[in-house]
Amino acid sequence: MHKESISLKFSKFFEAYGIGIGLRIPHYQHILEKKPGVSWFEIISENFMGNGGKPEILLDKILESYKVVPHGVGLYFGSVDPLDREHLKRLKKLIQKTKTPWVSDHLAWGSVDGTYVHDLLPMPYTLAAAKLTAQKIKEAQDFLEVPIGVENISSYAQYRSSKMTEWEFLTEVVETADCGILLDVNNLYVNSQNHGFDPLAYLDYIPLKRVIQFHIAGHSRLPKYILDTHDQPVSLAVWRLYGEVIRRGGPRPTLLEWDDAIPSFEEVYQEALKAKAFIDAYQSTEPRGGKS
Amino acid sequence: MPINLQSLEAENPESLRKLQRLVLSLIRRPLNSKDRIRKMAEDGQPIEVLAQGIFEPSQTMTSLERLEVYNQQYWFKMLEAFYQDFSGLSYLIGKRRFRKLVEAYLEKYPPRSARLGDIGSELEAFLRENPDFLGATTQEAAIDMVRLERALFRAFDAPDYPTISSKDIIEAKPEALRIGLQPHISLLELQYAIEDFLLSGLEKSGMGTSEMGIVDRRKQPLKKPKRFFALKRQKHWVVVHRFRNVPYIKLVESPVFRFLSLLEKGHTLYEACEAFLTGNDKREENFSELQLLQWTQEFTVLGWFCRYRENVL
Repeated sequence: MHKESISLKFSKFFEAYGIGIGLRIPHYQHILEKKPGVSWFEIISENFMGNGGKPEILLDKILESYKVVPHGVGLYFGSVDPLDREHLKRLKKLIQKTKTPWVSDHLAWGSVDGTYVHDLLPMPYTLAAAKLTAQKIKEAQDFLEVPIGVENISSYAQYRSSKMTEWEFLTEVVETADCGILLDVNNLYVNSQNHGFDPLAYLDYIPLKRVIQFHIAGHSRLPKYILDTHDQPVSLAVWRLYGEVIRRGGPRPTLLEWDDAIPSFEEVYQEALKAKAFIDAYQSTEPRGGKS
Repeated sequence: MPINLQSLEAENPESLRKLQRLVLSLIRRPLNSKDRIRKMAEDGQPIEVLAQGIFEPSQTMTSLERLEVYNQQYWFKMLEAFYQDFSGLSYLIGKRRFRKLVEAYLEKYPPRSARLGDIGSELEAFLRENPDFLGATTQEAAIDMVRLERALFRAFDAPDYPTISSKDIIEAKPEALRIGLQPHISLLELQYAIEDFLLSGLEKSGMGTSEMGIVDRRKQPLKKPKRFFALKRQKHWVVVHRFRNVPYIKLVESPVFRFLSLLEKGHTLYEACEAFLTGNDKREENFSELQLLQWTQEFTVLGWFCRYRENVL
């Protein structure tokens, strides 16, 4: 990717995509029957990378009316194991089918020696881990031929072996890999509470020009930590942080994740549209076209 | 042999691999009966000491509690996925026994794919190797159930190939024509009437992956079967298929099953018809031919037939 063009290129994605929500099973019927006006849907890539069965038949119908961006949970860029070539090939087919201009997965690991835990595990923040992760992202990005946005995950543990902060690690990885950031504002807030850091220090450090997309979601406050549950509306604290990120780096495609105790389609979409107020506030203070 | 925590500095790929191996082995260690992290690792080392060597404590959580979050996430997610994919087996053998079965199965056949839907692919083989996990339930009934539940998943997930029509069949030479079955079709010879049991109010969605880190079973209690079913031993034949995007279980008679099995194995239409007619030798030949014609038309309408391909999936 040409670094000078990254910010402009990614900000253009906002013009085309705006605010979307995650495509979830309880809403399928409503979406197919009512065809509600939604700018775009995000799908979990692995649910649509099968052999061509019912999920893909459904995806074909959705693609007739909507833009779709795949968001993966299975590339495990931080695992020491090499990339799964078969997985990448299937993902590329999905990218071609959806015609998405970007794709995303997580800054996490979740497998070793070919055994998977189907979870997004945090990385030890060392230079060796950053180099290995960046190399794998680069390799995947070259193969997939679309920009990759890596998402900051929510986490509940920090390694003793870490030699840098989360934001230093993220920056090291994305600069080395020359890729985008899917900035999950809820995860940033959750981690700042679980690990006791200032989320603004995080925003001060990371290259906001590389942000390709935002995630927002709800979380649950447990007695000892915050759990990233995606089962309720976005908290006020997360909305405020979202407003701050927009103020600093400009708007990007924004996606609300709601994965458990999923309410009606309308309720989920209305929650997502709250983002509009922050985007409008930014645009009203910026010259035409906004900052990029 | 005790693990040297100094070697887990993740300063090079090899020590990163060691660290990931250790964390993964601790996360995969089954929870105790209260759904909490165990005290000892598999090799007898105290998990608390290992956790302290791996994770920093926070102001509110010890290193062990932080590891426990991931240990619980793994098991809650795995158990939820198995309950969803094999709910019939769970009800058949009971929840407690099912959980022990899943733990032992994942020890022997850990997830080897990034697709959550693949986790139960070796369960039938595991049950054949380990009947002791089934308690009073007969091994045959349990295996029938697993095969049926895998077939339903396949009916959901596998593709549709372009169908072939009655006209295609009529115009071809039966001696040369090989007809394939759609990849979403499974032909099952079952020893027990387990589909009655399975269909007693259980829901199967077939799509399990989400980004959500934790699946809290305490918030979503499993549905119980609506009524008790006594399993009947009854050899019978079913075709599990998909029609208009919905998976179905269709009962068929033995000669039909044999006819379809031969087509699936690559025999010509002529050979499959011959086997069908031979299997029906107690009936009038004309009646059998008529019946075969009707069934073939019905299966064509259902879209079961496609061009024959070697190794369909």
